[in-house]
Amino acid sequence: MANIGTIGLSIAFGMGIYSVVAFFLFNSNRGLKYLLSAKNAVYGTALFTTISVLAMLYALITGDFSIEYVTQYTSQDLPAIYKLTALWAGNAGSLLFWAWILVLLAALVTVSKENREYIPYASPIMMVVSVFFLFMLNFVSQPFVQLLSPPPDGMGMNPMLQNPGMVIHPVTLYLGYVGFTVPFAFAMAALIMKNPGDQWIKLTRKWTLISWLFLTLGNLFGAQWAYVELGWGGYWAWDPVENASLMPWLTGSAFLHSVMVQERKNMLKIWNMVLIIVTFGLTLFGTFLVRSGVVASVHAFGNSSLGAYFLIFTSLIILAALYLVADRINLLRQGNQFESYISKESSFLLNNLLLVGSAFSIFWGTVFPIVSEAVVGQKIAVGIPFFNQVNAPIGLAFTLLMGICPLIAWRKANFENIAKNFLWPWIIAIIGMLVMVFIGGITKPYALIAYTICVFVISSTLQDILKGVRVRKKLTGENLIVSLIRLLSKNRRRYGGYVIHMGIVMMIVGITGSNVFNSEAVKTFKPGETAVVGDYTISFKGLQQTSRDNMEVIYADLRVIKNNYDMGNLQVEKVFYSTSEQPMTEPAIISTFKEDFYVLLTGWEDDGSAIFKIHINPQIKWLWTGGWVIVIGVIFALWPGKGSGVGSRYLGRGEVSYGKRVS
Amino acid sequence: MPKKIKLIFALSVLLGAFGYLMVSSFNNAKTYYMTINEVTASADKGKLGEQNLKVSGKLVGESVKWEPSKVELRFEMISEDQKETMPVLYKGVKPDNFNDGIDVIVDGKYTVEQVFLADKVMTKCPSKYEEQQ
Repeated sequence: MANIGTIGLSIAFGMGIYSVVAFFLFNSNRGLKYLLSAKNAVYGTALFTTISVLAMLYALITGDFSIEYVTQYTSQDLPAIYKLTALWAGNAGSLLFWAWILVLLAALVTVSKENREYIPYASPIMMVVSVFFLFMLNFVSQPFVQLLSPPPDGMGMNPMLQNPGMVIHPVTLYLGYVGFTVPFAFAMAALIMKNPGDQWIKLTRKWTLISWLFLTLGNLFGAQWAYVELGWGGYWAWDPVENASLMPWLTGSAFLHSVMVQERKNMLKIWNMVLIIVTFGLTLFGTFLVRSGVVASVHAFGNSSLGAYFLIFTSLIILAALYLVADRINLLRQGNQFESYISKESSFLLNNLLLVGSAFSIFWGTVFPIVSEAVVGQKIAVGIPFFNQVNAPIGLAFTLLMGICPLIAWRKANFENIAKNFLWPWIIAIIGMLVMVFIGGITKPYALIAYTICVFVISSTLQDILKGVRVRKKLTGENLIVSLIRLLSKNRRRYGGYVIHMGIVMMIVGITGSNVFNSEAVKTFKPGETAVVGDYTISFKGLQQTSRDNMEVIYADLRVIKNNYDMGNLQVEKVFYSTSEQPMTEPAIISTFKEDFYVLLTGWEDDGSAIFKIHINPQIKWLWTGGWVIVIGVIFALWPGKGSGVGSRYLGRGEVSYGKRVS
Repeated sequence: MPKKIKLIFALSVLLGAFGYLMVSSFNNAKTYYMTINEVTASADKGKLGEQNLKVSGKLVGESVKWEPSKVELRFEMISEDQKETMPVLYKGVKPDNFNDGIDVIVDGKYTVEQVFLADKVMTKCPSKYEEQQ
């Protein structure tokens, strides 16, 4: 297997290089045969990388301990699903996985008829990135290194990784990361072809949106995994590696919005180019952070020399991209100017500045320890309060804009219209606020502001849908339900966006509640003791011990009664894996939309008493549910067929055709 | 060009607010990485004040005093060169595997009583999962 894998990777590397060269020859007018041959080389690269991946998966599942990687990350008693996920548990394997997704995407892009004009330029750009990864796999971080004397068993997988999160979080995150290579490649292709219109944006819209969705899910699954596995009661610690995946999400979100301005108004072209370059750069920068060992993080892979290669490659490709933008700057400058400082496009610009500002602050906070050590010789970190204090107000302003942006007019809006449009949403929001203060008893200003803004966004969005339904009903004479369904399905891009916004609002509610109202308590229980924490009555009988699969488990069955309602038994565990000295503390969680009851067994004493840590985390479930709402929104917007196109009313007057504008 | 001026004005207000946000939060959240030797040396000169510190060292196993009823942990950390020790007080739960010689990282402040008041105690066990080269 090791040989098949190694040979597969070297052939893939060779074919990758050949495809880039052949595309170059075709582009310098050496004939069509080079194009065909280059395309075939792309498919070949994908095929041989796939063979290597299959070889690795086979070696992992059969426990071929002659391969060092298999020995390092699996053991015989590891459940089969985690043997497979070991593909991305280590450095070399996860690079292989990344390269695999990338070459598959390159092949998909190349095979598509829709992209015909762009393939000679976009495909080689994707292949250059692929070749870099294949180079790393062939020469720097080889996954198929063999051991001279294979051990009888492997070292096993880090217990923290043995969680369903391991199956889904890396996959979604990588799909998100890698997916942004597609719009980047098309943007560069558009520049090379001197075609600065919005064609590349239209062609890659699907890719961008799907990548963004995966990045969103990757972040959320990661947060959820941390929440149920790391046992500190939270889900986001502004850890450098978490930041690394949040930054491209922020700039990618900015990009998704600002391209609409280019499609509709033929402006912000330079800005869009820069945004996609920055987003793509940040996806590679994330990989650099994780693998270089320059930052201390729970997620990071061990120190290795990979970081330097990533830094050099990322810098080179970003510089080349920026050079291309600078060279074509005159082409990009053509287009419209802002007509009014109060208009949809300027509100989009504001949204962009907030997102990019947030990304910048996170970047600054993440790299500051490195910078300060290099410049003044003292390592200074910025703690969690920095990220919270900067990003909470930005996040609120950004949420507020979500209620405003979709409703104000393109080009030039006026104050009277705005006042009229937003009268009811504000009245509802203020009523909501009064209800929260006097009936809900919420007095914390941050939470109050956040919830009020959320009510405003929801009511302004609903008002807009209602208005559309009313107009449609009047025009067509359909009944309410039919006209609602037809309205939504005929403008799926617009209303899919609204659904996504509602998902984000739910996430904001969850983030606010869990950060402002969370509480925790540590209690020592003697066997048979009962205690009250908040609404919960907890009884502890005693500790028990059991063993399963590859672990020893010390556990307590806690009887939990909430407001006289029996929630049943909660099993709280401390797990000792045979392959690790460090035990894992597995929380037990009762999750409702009101709050999560989160309890950990933190230790025990010789007299049989046990110490539990209890977190009450309000509204966390809103965060995860918001993620699923976003999935629905994206699917709704992208589902093929009528209504998902761009020529909808969202763009207002003027039909849009590829490359140029007819209005 | 009043339109452009308005736009520029709005942008500078925005940038100003952002800059203020960055700087003020930054000063609150600044944390210095220090070794135990650096902490004791700076403390003697009275230079630490209210600064947030992140200090790493090794655990002195016999110094650990854990009181589960009060949820209070006291222990000492020793520097890499075994020259200086630093007492730590942590109002929290004793981490798993809190054994002699493991690497400990504490976040918190060094008090005038010459005790490190930790908000957070992290342990790093010599894991075989990290690649050892």
